[in-house]
Amino acid sequence: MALNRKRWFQVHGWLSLPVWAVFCFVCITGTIAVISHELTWLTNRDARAENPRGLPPQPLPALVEAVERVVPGAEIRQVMVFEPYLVTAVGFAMPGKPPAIAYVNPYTAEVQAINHGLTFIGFMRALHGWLLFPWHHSWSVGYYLVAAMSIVTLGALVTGVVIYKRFWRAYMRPQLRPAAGTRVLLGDLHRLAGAWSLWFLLVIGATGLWYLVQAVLWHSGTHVWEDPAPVALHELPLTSGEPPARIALVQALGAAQRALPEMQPRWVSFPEHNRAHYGIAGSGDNILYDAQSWRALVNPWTGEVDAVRTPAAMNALQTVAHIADPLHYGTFGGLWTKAIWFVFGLLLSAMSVTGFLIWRKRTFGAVRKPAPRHAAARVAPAEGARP
Amino acid sequence: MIAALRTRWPRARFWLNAFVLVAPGWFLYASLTPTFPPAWPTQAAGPFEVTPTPHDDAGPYPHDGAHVKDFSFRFCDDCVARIRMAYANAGPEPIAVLDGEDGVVHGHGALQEAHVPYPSHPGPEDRLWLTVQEWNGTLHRLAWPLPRPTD
Repeated sequence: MALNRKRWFQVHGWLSLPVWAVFCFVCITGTIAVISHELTWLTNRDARAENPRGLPPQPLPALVEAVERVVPGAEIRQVMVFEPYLVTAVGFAMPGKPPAIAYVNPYTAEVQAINHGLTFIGFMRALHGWLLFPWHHSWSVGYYLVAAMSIVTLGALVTGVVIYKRFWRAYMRPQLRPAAGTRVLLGDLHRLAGAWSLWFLLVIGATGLWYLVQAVLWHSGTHVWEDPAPVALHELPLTSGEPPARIALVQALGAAQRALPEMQPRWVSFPEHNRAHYGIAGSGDNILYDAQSWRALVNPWTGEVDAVRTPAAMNALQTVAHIADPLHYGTFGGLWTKAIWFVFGLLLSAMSVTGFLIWRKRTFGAVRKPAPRHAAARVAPAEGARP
Repeated sequence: MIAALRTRWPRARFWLNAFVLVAPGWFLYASLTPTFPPAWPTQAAGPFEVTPTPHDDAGPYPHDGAHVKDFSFRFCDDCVARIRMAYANAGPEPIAVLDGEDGVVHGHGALQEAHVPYPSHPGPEDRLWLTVQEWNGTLHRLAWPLPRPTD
C-alpha cells in the first residue's frame, strides 16, 4: 500500500513520540559524552597535559616507571594515551585497594593525580551508552534500548525527508520566522535543523544501528575477533621457585613497533596471567579507524610478536567494528570534529524537543486556545510544513 | 482490546518514558552500594592462602558452548607473583593438565578472578577446585563443596 504524505507524517510522529523523552535524554548525554574529556580538562587541572617548556612526549615506559615510583607495589594494568592536551592514564592495582588510574603528564612524566573511583568520562559513557542498566555478562537492557534509538533516528530521517517537500531549499533559502508565532517558529526550527543535520542523523543512525547489531552479536556469543591462543605452557620458565622476570614494556613496545612501523601506540594492556600477552594497540595512517585497529600481541617471555591485526587484513564485520566509534564519537579529526559533533548533537537534542512541542501544540493547542479563523491567511505555510 | 489500548496508550507512554529515565538513578545508587555474596572459607594451598567469592548468587550462565560461573579469588599479598599458573573448575575432579584456556585465574594484584567451568546441576560429588602451580612446578590443589541448588 502506497503511503500518502499524511501517513508518512504519522509514521514520523509514531517513531519518535512514544520514546521522545528517552530519545532526548540519549541525545543530550551523547552530546556531553563527546566532549567529556574536554570538560574534564576545563574543570580538573590535573587532567591537563601542560607543557610550558615545549618538551617532547616521554616514552610510555617512562610514564609507567613514574607511577611505580610514586605508588610502590603498584601492578600496572594498562596505559591509555589521549589527545596531546590530555594526561596519559595509567591503570594499576595495589594490595588492599580498588583499581586506580594515575593521571601522568606525558611531557614531564609527573603523576598529577590518582583516581580511585568512577571518572566523569566513564560515567557519561555509561549513562549514554546503556543508561547505567546492569550488564548480565554479555548483554544489558539499557544497551539494547539506546542502540534501538538508531531505528528512531534513521526512521525520523527517512520520513522527515519524505514529508518535508523540497527540503534542499533549506540550504539555499533557510526560513526562520520569529514574528509568526511560536508554532510556526518551532516548525521552522525543526525543519531547518533537520535539513542541515541530515548527514549527522545518517552517521549517528548508521553507527547506532551497528551498535544494535553488536549487542546481538555479544549476546549470542558471536566473536568479531577470535581470541588469540595463549602462550604455550612450555614457554613459561621453570625456576627454583623465584618468580622469573618477563620482558619489560620497553622491549614489548619495540617488538610491536618493528612489526607495525605505522602504528602510533595509544593503548597498552599488561598480561593478566603468565600465559597472556602484552596487548599493544594504536592508530595508524587512516584516521577513520579507531585506536585499537593496529594491534600487536607480544609474548612476554620470548619477546616475539605472536599475532598482529591491521585494517588491511580485516573482514567486513571487523572493519565496521573499528570505524564505528570514531564516526559515532566524532574523534577522527581531533578537537575540531569533536566540536562539530557537539554542535550537531545539540541540534539533534533540540530537534527532539521542538518535535515534541510541535506535536503538543497540534494536539492540545487547538483545544486550549482556538485559532483565529483567518490565522492561516496571515502566515503563509512553510514548504512541507503540512501533511 | 484495541479500544482499550488506544485509551491507555497515551498514559502508558508517559509512564514508559518516566520509568526509563528514573531507572539510571536507581541503577547508579545500586552500583555505588554493591552487595556481594559471602566469601567461602579461606584455605591454604601450600604457601598460599586463598579466599574464593562468587560474583553473584545466580546459577552458571552459558558462555562459548559451556556453562561458567564467575568467581573472585583473593590471594595473600605478594603471593600472586610466586604463582606460575592457576586454574579453577567445578566438577568431581580438578583439571588434569594446565595447558587449557578455560578457568584460568587472571587479573592484577591480589584480587584475581576466573570464569569457572561449572555444572548446570551440581551433584553431591562436585567441588570447586583450585589448581595452583608454583614456578618450580609444584602443584597444589584445593576443593570447596558447592552449594546445592536447594541450599
